[in-house]
Amino acid sequence: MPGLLRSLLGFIILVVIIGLATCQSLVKAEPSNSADAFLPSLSQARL
Amino acid sequence: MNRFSKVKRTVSDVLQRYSPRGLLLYFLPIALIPATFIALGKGHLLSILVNAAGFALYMLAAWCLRKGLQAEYIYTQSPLPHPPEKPLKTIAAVIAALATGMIAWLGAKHSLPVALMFAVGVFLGMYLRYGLDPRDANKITAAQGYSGHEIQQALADSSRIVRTIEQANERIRNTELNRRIERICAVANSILADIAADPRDFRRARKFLNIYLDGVLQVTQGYAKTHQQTHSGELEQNFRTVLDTIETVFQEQRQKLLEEDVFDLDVKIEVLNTQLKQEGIL
Repeated sequence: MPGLLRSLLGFIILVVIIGLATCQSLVKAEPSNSADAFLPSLSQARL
Repeated sequence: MNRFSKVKRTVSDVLQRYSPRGLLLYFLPIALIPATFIALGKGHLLSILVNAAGFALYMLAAWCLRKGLQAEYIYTQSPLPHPPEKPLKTIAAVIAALATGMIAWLGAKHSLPVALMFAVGVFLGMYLRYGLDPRDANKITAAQGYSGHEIQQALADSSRIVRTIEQANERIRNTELNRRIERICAVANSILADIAADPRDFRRARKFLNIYLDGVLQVTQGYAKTHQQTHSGELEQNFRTVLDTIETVFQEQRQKLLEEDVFDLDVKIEVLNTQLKQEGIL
């Protein structure tokens, strides 16, 4: 495999995998993800 | 203590410090910073620890990677088969893989097998992007009563002196003299490479390593410092004459090493030694 192509492939793999893992970790920690936690209170408010 | 141990870091050693290669790992995990603070705000201890530790591990991996790339650069510039002592690029790949696996498992809440796939993927990405550390099987062997390590050390010291001469050469503002010094350094590097390839030449080349490289270093550094303060035609001519002599002797030295003509080599060395003493260089 030519060096440039190999390097580009490595770059893409690193960006995608590390980006995916860290962003998913951020989403799990994000308050918006805890919308489920708000839903009951919203439901209660509607009631 | 080796007499050349004073020659420390040179331009070549630090050249790659300013290269952007390897900086990617510093920026990719940036999302872990807000993730840590959000987890802190929500009071999730595990999430705080995982995100903060993951970020720290990525920074450590990036630092190792940059050091490994610098060591690899020095290795490729050196005429000697002296690979980096620690496999820093491989260590960086392992740390980045572990950090990603941990983030995917405990941070993103993937299952353990999926987290392992993340880790393997990052290791593969690191390998493809940066490669692994250079390992050279052609270690220098013992010869002429010297251990392989002693020869390796002497050659590494000499190689550092050559790089310091190159560094001093950059401060000299004279194209003709610059080219002469470059030619001397090129011959010196080829002699070092010859000795590394055939350590039996080490004993015969010791005077070259111990006296003349140091002499060239002193005279080049001295001229680089002096010519900036005073523009003397006589000084320049003397320096040119010395460089001419050194260049001739270096080329002869290499030829004699190739021809294994011990006697003639020693005679030439004595002649140059006397001349350099007369010039006040040694």
